[in-house]
Amino acid sequence: MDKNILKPTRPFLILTSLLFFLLFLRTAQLQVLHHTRYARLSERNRIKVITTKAPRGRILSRDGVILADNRPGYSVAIFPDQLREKEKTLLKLASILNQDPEKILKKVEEGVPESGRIFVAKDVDVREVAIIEEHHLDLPGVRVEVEPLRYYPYGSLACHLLGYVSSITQDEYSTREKRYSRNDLIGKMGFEDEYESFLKGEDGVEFVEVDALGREKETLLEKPPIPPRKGNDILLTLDFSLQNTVEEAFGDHKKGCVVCLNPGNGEVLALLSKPGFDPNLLSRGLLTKEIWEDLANNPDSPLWNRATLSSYPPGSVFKLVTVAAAMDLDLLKENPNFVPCTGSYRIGNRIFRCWKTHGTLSREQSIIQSCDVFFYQVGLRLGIDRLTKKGISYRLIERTEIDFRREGKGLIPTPSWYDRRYGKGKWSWGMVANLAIGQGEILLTPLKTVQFIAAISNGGNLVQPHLMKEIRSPSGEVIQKGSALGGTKSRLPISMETLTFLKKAMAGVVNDPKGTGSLARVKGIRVGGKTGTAQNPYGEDHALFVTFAPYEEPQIACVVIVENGGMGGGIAAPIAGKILRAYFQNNEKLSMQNE
Amino acid sequence: MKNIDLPLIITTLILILFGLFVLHSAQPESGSGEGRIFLRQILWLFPALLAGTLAFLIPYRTINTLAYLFFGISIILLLIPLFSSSTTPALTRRWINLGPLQFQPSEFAKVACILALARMISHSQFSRGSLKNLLLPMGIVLLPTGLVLMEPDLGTSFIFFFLLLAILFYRKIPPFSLLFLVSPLVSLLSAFHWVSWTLFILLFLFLLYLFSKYHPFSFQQGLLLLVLNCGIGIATPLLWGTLKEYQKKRILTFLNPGLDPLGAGWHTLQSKIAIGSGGIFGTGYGQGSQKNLAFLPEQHTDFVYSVIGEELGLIGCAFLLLLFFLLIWRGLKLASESKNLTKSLAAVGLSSIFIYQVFVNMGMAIGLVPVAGLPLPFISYGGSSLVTSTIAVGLLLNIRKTKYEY
Repeated sequence: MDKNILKPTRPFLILTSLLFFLLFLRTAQLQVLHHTRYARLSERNRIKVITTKAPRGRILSRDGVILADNRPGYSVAIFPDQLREKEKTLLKLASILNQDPEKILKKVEEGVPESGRIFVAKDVDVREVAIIEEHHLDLPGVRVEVEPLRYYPYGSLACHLLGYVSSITQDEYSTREKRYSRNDLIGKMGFEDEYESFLKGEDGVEFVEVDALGREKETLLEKPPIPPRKGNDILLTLDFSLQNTVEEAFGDHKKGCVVCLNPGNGEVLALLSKPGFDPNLLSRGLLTKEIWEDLANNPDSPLWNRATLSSYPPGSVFKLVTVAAAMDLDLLKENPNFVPCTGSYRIGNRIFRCWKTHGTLSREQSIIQSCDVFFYQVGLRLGIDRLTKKGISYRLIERTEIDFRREGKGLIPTPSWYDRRYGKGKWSWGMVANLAIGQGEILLTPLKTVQFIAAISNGGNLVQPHLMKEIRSPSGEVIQKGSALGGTKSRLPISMETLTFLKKAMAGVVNDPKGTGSLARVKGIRVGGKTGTAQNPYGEDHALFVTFAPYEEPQIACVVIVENGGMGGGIAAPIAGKILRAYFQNNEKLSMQNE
Repeated sequence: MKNIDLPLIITTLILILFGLFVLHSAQPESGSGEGRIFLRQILWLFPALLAGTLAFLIPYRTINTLAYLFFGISIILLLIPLFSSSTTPALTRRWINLGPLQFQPSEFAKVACILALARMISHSQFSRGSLKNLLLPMGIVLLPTGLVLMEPDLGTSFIFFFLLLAILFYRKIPPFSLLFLVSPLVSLLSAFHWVSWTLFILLFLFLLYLFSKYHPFSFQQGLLLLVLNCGIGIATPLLWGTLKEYQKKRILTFLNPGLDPLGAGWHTLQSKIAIGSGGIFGTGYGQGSQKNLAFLPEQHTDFVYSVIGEELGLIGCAFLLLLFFLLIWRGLKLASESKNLTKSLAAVGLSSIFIYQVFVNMGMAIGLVPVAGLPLPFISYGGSSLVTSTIAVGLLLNIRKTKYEY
């Protein structure tokens, strides 16, 4: 064996000696040279870590109006390990804050400190803050901290879409990632919740040396503060002035919803759900029980986002689906030989009514005048199997996958559904007559409805509804673009010929002298629409109106639903008319300004 | 008895006792069941001593025959935690759960890697001059490095590379080959700032010039290495620059999940305060105020040195340093005395584990080395570390036992 290879391990010993000497020197430096300083830091004097809360990202409309902002809020925090004469101090604090001293004591004793402190009051009045600061020598361990609180400048405007923030719950705290602390605000609904991870900022920290009385002495040089990092701003596809118009146009109607879509790319331009709430009330640091119960127990469910979560019977709006199905199966000619409308129609021993006596109608006029008798016969010719199969193939009961995790789903009752519901053979095939005019068990979501109308108007493209336009970092860099979510998802399986017919018929509904939707007319613009009046077991009919405009190059598609409103043509159509008039007036103004 | 290294045994025993002594004080206040740390460590002592004795008794020839098998097993063990589902993913993938006991396969992989390297590099076919010959040892090292990095455990993953360098250096491979191994990594690390990278490349060129005079290498090889290093130096900042801020952060926190919530340096500062306040004589056993206030993170594992510094002062620290120095010195002495190349290389590797871990762990506590959770052998709480350390000593003793055996 090659003995020359072996060489004493001297280099290793030298390296080890060097490294160990270094360790020893450094230890000695800390323990001998800097001993007094470190001993002082470790003894009674301590380092206090102060979190500087990072502001949340803002939420803006597409035209740059800030819809969710931050404002400074004063919070009172207690550092339990610096409290002296606990009872006396807390009593004094309670009298300043006008609070029950017992409650404060309970919070201090039971609370889990976050970086050494417990919050006893949030969003405190400036006058109370001034008094606390004045008496700060008598209040050791009490500190006023400024932290950004959420603020919605327009109150309830678009509240369901924005959502609100509130203190993190114990459950959320233990399941979320590490970057939350116990008193953080967290998005609870709407965009505040959906885009929480983008909106949330990163808190900064400051390291302060405090003396034995808990008073701050100096900031530590060894540990420079870490500045807070603001959350990302989110730009919505929402058009601020249109949203305003929609809320105005909806007027005093108590319940319902409106969704306006850009039929070209699926951007949601306005979204209203009524009744609403003021997110400012919910987003104060410590939410009061009364406000919460008021909202949660309200029978009209103001916190429920009807536009994305509810589904409604579509009423005569569904005639568009029925006619499309029949035409594509070549079962409906321009002038079919149907029994003329005499105001009612007999199937078996049951009488089905129409809302008017229409006489003999063409295919197009049947939509324009919304004749039920005509559609009972279309339904019978189609049969329930074919009609429901077609409806499902139009993707009417799928979710649109808008950027809300929770989304409602529609229902088209198929024969097998009826079998399950009523038992085999225990239901009548005449159900198809009702289904053909959109009554009965059938349900569609507002989002799906407006997406279908948008597809009719744009030549058959099912565009993806979405609300996020852009996410911008605090430095203005665009992190994500909503256009990635939008665009055409799939095509409506309806022939071009049928689509053109539907579009034309919808224009007739609004502009024909006999049309049911004449109240949605806009001067100078060819509007398309369809009325719907949906019977429902819970009272007055729902009024529906779907619309798009202009006919030539559609820029907007809407669905208006007024719960228990009455006739679609009389109640919902005028709301749509107001929305469209304001939209096109505003656009004209804008284009004139641009010129 | 002549063939037994008594000083090594005594040093080890003192280290173990000292470790228990310190742990008794450093264990977290009782509650949440963690108060039993001291007792658990005592329980671990039995398998540790048993494993150490086995490592001492089994003929080294047998161990050497099985070296590659050990290595293969350790790789499989490293894979297990990566594929087993766990509730808190990022943090617990270092562990294999065995009911009440857990162990860290990366600890055993260190020893297995040394045995495999020692066998491979002492092989008569291993030609020192050839760069191609470095590929296999590189592979042996990169495999566990990669797996440990995925756990992720940055501090431990580097140790394999360090072992390879130590063993190759001892084997006296040409400096150019060492340069070939080390410089790309240094280039990568220094590339984050142009000044450091310029310094690196100047030093690199100087070394290349120096080596070309005394230890010839082919022109192509030198050029290849230069191009490689320049490529890394240019590509690194470019690639890093294309990442978004949050992506960078994600990578950094992935590589170092121990990164404290209050920003880098908070743990180090607390540890420095603990050690510094200890002074020459310490605040007294069980009396550390920093420790009692639980300011110190992981005081019974990664930051155990801070507790020693605070409670036992400079005297305690110096004593511990001396013990470790003795241990390493004995290990290196065994390496140089052995007449068998495989055993010498193994002894060098085993001693290097101690050099690396002691320096990184203590250096971290006093702010010389970035925070990278690594246990202090014999002292930190943890069964896997204790068992591995006693196995290492057992193997060293084994080498001595048969030092005249070829």
